[in-house]
Amino acid sequence: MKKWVFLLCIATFSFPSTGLTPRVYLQKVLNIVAGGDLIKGSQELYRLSRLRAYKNKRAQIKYTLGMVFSEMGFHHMAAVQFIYPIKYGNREYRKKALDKMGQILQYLGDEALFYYAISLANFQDFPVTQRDKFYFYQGVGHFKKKNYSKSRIQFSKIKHNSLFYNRAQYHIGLSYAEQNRVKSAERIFKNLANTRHQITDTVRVAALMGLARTLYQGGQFNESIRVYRSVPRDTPYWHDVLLESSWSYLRSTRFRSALSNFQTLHSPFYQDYYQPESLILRAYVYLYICRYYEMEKVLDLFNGLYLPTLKAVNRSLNAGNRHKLYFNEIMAVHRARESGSSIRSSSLPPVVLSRVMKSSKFKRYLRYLEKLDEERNKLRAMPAEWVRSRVGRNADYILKARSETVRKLAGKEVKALLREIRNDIRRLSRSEEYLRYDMLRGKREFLKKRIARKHARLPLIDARTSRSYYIQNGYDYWPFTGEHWVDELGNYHYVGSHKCR
Amino acid sequence: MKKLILIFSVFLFFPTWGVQRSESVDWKEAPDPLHKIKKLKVKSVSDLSRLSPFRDVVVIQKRYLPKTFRGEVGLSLNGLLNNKFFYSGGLSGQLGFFVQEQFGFGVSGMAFDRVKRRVATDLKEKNGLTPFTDVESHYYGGAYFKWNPFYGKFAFSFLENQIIYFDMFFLLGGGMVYITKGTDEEIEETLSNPKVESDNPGVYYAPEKKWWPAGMLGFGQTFAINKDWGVEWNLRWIFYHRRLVDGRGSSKVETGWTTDMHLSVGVNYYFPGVKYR
Repeated sequence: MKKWVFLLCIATFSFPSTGLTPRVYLQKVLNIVAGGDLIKGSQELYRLSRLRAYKNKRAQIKYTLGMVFSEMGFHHMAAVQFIYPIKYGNREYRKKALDKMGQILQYLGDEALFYYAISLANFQDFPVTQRDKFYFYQGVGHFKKKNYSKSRIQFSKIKHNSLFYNRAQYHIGLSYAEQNRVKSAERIFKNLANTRHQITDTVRVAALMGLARTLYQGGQFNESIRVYRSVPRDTPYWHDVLLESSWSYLRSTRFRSALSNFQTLHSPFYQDYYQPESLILRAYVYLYICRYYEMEKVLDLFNGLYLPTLKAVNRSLNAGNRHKLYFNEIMAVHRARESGSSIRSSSLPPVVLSRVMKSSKFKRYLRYLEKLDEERNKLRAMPAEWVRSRVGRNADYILKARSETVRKLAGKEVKALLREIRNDIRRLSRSEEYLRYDMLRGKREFLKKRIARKHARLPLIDARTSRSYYIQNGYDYWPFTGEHWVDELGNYHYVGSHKCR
Repeated sequence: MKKLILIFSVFLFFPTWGVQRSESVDWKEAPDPLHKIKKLKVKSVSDLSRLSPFRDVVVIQKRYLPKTFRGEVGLSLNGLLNNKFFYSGGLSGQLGFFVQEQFGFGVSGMAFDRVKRRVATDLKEKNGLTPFTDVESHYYGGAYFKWNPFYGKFAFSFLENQIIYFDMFFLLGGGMVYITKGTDEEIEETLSNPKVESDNPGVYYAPEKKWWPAGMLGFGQTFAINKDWGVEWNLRWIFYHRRLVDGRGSSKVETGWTTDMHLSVGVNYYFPGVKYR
């Protein structure tokens, strides 16, 4: 008897109470969906996807449900539905689901889910339209594991007309550079830069940056300076260009040009930027031109700014917080800065925030969270009946859970960046100690010469060039009066001299 | 007139905080600033800009609105400022070319019409007097030389600190002015009105219309809108030596200088376009 009751219960929950066979009922639901009633269709499909009687049709149901969600604007929910047909579906649905999932994940920017999909499927399952994506992520995987030759094989399979072509070429260039094959890297970056003609095109600028870095790596400092100069100012990379080209100037003993860059880098516009390296570099330049007192001020500033930062970072890392707390902390600082309110004393310094906010990975997480929030808002705007239904509750749960996961991942990224900052400042602090030693030695010599009145006052480099020379050649010439104007960034020129005599 | 001068003074000197004069930079070696560096308190990265003496740093930037070997076409509205009885306004245009950033030349033309001011109407209605000036100028055409000695910039805080670049220029030129001595109707009225006769006893200068040589002096400013367009205002004095002959056949001749002061506001277009970023 008990058996019969049990079987009756299963039958009650397994079959819809319509009296129709699963195949007919599913067709009826599919007709509802085809008729445009997505709300009812999604409810029914979700219900069917949980019934045992429809186990054989589950891949089809899940795929259709994913398409319905995608149509309703719930892209993340759709991506989650496609996992089942990829994992358990027949080849037809696996291919279709991979195709659609690839499109959705490109929109969402969720690479983790795509990596998961890659791990579930074979290469043959990928539709032709998505194979470039497969190659690219396979290549990136090899690149991260430092299997550069393997990564190049994958990247080189991507065709010219693919959206991933430029990124793949850039990675090929990087992989050559990592293997110290400078000439090959140069060739790749040059070709990539030449494929784009718009001055501020991100791909072109990234390729130019790659080329300049490669030339620097190959010891061609003047060439690298030439390439750095061709990077337009109205791109987000320009701040990096200033710092990196200063290294090239230093290595090619063009100290004035390096100091000219620092006039921009250390202007009030970049006050809150994380740039300890630029201070150390400036100190190096002062050391080379025997300006020891200026050097001392710069080193003092480095200690004043970045040792407290190191302490704050250490405090945060040693607290053993969970990843999500790092995310919350950095967002609290970010929001406080956005609203102009004061930041708690225990919080991380603004320079750390600027470093984290510059991280492309962290920014990607923030964008993803924004998209999840959009979906959650959309969910709340749905009819109350749908929101209260099982599919609505499930959607809410999935979006919440995903949001939590992304916050944790973003927090993990923050923690990794904090570690990077800590290592960075520690490494630069060691340089600071060496520099201070050199500075003291130099100062002693300088004072000896000063006492012996051997110190010569040197004229300015531009002493013989008149202002009208620049004006006649189509330039505005302004003496520096301590004011910084935004249009002058990058146009400061140091015309002072060294004191090494 | 005082009001006008005040307005122009404000207009002219409003953006002077950004003006760079063409004075030579003092290149002489300054005293060793070591003691200053020692005392300097550096608390933030922006304080580092004070580490070097300011004379060790200069700003050399590409002109926002370059002019060398570029043409200039301008169209503006203009008004005559120094006529008590008439409002006179019109259009003016210019076509020029810059051989250097500071120097340019070109041709300009002006055409204007006049409307009676209230004072003139009152005189006519209440006293029966028909006021007119000795001679009226209607057109001007001539060549000019433009000198841009100053350039500058300023930022509008209410436009998100948008930076506006400007030039200040002086004009020197000459050409021909088309003058008339009153309109035909006015002369008829004058003849039929004995009061006017009594004001000018025994003298009647014949109406005449002619082109007459004139000189031109002026100054103004050009504010860059972008790399090809600018807004310009200028103040020009067109002066000519009038010579009036008695219309009744006597040998009486009146001579003297007439000066018209014109204010123009308009836009200029510079060509060919520039490609620098």
